[in-house]
Amino acid sequence: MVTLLSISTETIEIILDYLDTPDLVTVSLTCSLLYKIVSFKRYGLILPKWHGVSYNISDDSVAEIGLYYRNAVLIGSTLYILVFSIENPTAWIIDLNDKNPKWISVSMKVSDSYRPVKYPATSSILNKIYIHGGIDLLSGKPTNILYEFDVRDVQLQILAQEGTIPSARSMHSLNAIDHNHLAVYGGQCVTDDGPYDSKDFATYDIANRVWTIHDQIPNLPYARSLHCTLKARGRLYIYGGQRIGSKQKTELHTDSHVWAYDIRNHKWLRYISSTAYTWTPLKLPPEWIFTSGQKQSPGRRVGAAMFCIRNRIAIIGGVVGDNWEEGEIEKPWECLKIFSPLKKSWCHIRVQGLPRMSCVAFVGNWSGCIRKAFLIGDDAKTGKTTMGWIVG
Amino acid sequence: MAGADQKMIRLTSSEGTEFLVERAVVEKSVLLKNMLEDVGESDLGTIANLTLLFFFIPAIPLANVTGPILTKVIEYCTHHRDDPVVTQEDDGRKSSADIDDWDKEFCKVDQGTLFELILAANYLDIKPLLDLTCKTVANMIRGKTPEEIRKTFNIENDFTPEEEAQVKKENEWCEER
Repeated sequence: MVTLLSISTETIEIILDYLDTPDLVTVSLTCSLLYKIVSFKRYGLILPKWHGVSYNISDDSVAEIGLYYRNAVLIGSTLYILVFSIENPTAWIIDLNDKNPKWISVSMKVSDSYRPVKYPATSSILNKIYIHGGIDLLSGKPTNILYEFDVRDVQLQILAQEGTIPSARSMHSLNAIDHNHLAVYGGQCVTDDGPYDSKDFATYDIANRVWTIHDQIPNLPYARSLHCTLKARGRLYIYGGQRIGSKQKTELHTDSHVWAYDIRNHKWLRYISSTAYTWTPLKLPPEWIFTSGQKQSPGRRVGAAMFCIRNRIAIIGGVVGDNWEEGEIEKPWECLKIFSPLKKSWCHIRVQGLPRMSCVAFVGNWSGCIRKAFLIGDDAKTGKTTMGWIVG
Repeated sequence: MAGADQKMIRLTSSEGTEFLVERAVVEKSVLLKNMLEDVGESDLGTIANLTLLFFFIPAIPLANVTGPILTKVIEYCTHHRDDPVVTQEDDGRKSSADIDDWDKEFCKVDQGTLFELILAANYLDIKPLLDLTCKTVANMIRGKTPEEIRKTFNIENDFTPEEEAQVKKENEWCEER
């Protein structure tokens, strides 16, 4: 006789679509198969665990990578971290198809006009990595230099810039929004009065070398730096970060929302993860979207990682507003926060053994067919740069 | 009963039982609709003369569907033959509360038949029937405890005590924090 457990997983998922969270939880407790199906449906993962990976390089090299890990770029299964040092600009490369990936380094071929930088923003299109801005290590000031690095011949060249060129900045984001355009958002700029956070949103046309500032689009995210971004399904998502406070001191950003730029329709959406707006009698703009499951939302963070998992956005790591130091038993930093833009809701799942870390993350079907996330970042406990996999 | 000008299709169940069904009813199945469109009117089953049909037109074999289940599927498709086609855009937030009386009565079958209907609806690609049968199963789950669900669907609890404790703990942690 055909039974519930003998029909296909996809069909069971259709049945589960009609159930709310409490019933899904109950179903997951009936047997191991339904537990796995419910967990995968809700989180895209089943009992995820952290698997740390040891380094095959010297501590000095790890420290060098640690300074630039936020600029890691994935091309295919290869992760690149470009180190723009004064003496020896280096591309650190790791193949994520290896179960125990090993770092190798290649010296970048640079021209006489090369300027070493730290805290730039990076993105990639096909075989090229683009690097924008950062702090010029020779002058100590922000720059708006734009590099193109070709991974095939390891050549680094400076690109010409025309149009309305964004001002010099660091700790911003750069994302490829299609095969010919890069988008810069936010970052920290400096004037004679001191540093300030930017909410500039500008795009660069690679073919024509022209910048356009998009300051007329309403509902721009608040100014910030050191935020995280993700381009997924026609949208550019922005979350978290830091800001310069009233005493010119950098502090955690007060904004806990996820912002999304709809690339095709040129509009910003704001997914509100706060109860602060629910009481207002005023009619809110249609681009403001309330989310449910706010207790499971990530709150305020800087240095978090954002990645895509089963049509959902996952946020993990970073430094939070609440004091994680006191959570050694509950280990709240192990929470992988998952947001469904379709259902406009948050949920979370524990990643067993995940260290408290600020990090970046990349997800893919590496080492065969297992979909897993690779994380690299700073371990808050040891102070060392650490890397590993989330597997579930 | 189909009129003389109604185009008819022959379907054969897994045991070899033949069914003569109006094309409009058969086309509620996306699989069969595509198949008929691919083969073309002149080659398969679309003929007005019933005598000729039985002698000359090959039937469409449905090796995965038994006669009793095919009977139920035809009953459903006949009742819903004039319903508008459901598109992905119409299929918003899923609700199991909107089952009409005829559909409720249709789904009053034993559990084996219900799951066989799900398999047939999936195979034949009849989305409204798949949704209806899945909703009915969801309604059988709603509000029950794990033990009641196991009893209802004859599911064996294959967790070890340690695993059961772990999944309970994880669920509590995820839901209550």
